[in-house]
Amino acid sequence: MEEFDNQSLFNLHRSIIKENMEFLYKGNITVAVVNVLLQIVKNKFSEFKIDYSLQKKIYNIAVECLENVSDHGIPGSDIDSIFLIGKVDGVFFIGTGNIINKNVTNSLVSSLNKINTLDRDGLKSIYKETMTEQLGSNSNDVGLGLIDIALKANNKIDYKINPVNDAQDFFFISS
Amino acid sequence: MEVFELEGTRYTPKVVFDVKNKVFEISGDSRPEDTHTFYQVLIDWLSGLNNASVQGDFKFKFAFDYLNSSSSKFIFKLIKCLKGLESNGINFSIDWFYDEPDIDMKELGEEYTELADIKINMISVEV
Repeated sequence: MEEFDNQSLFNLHRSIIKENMEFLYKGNITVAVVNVLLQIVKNKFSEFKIDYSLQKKIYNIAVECLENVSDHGIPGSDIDSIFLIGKVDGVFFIGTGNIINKNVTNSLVSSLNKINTLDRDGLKSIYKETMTEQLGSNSNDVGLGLIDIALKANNKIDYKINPVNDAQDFFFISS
Repeated sequence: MEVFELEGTRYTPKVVFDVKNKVFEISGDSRPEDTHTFYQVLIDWLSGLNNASVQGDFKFKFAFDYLNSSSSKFIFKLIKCLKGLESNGINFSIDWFYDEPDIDMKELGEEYTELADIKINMISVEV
């Protein structure tokens, strides 16, 4: 087993602080892990010292982000998913990253680009439209969750795509 | 047919449908692992009132602490089901409870009013 020296640990800790990370998880994001992570998020609220309304928003966004990964990610992938909560200049951000198949990337990018052009009224309108349209669908649709994230965050959803191989991308979103 | 009850969990809401005592309530957190199956059972049970010779005026209370986007779709379906029962003389007066600072929950209730074209009483709760 390769040795992990104290200097590496020190550097890692320093990076986490420098990047304004309040909480960081790397590993599989299964339904069981989602439940544990959400409990940790709830426990963190007293540490964050934030009001009830912001607690609800952070919790909402964390649920939608994590459920997107557990519902639409690729289980058993060699590359771990990540989930993080950070804070820059007093503003919280939440992000997830996971492996997806390239054939999903285009539709996800197209949904995100559409969502990011909309103001609050536009988002509310498309949320209602999507909810009505999806009445006949029984799946946990990704569209509604993304619109919900943008609405709760009151902000654009940032995304980055890192190609992993010919068939898969690592997709990171944050808001 | 008279009573349907589910205990609430950390992921699923408490459900009480009690025809005799005229209590209908869904409350707590809603992010079931299989949202469709969870809510379809409730919708099917409520739809069955049509065949159970039930008539009258009932209150239906929604009091969510949290519901995910997937649940919101099925709540809409459930509200439409309640509206559909009116033609058989089963009338629900719907109360939508929300914590006073939770504007998102309040707005969701208002959206259902508009989308389902049904009156929903918005009731704010102090926290």
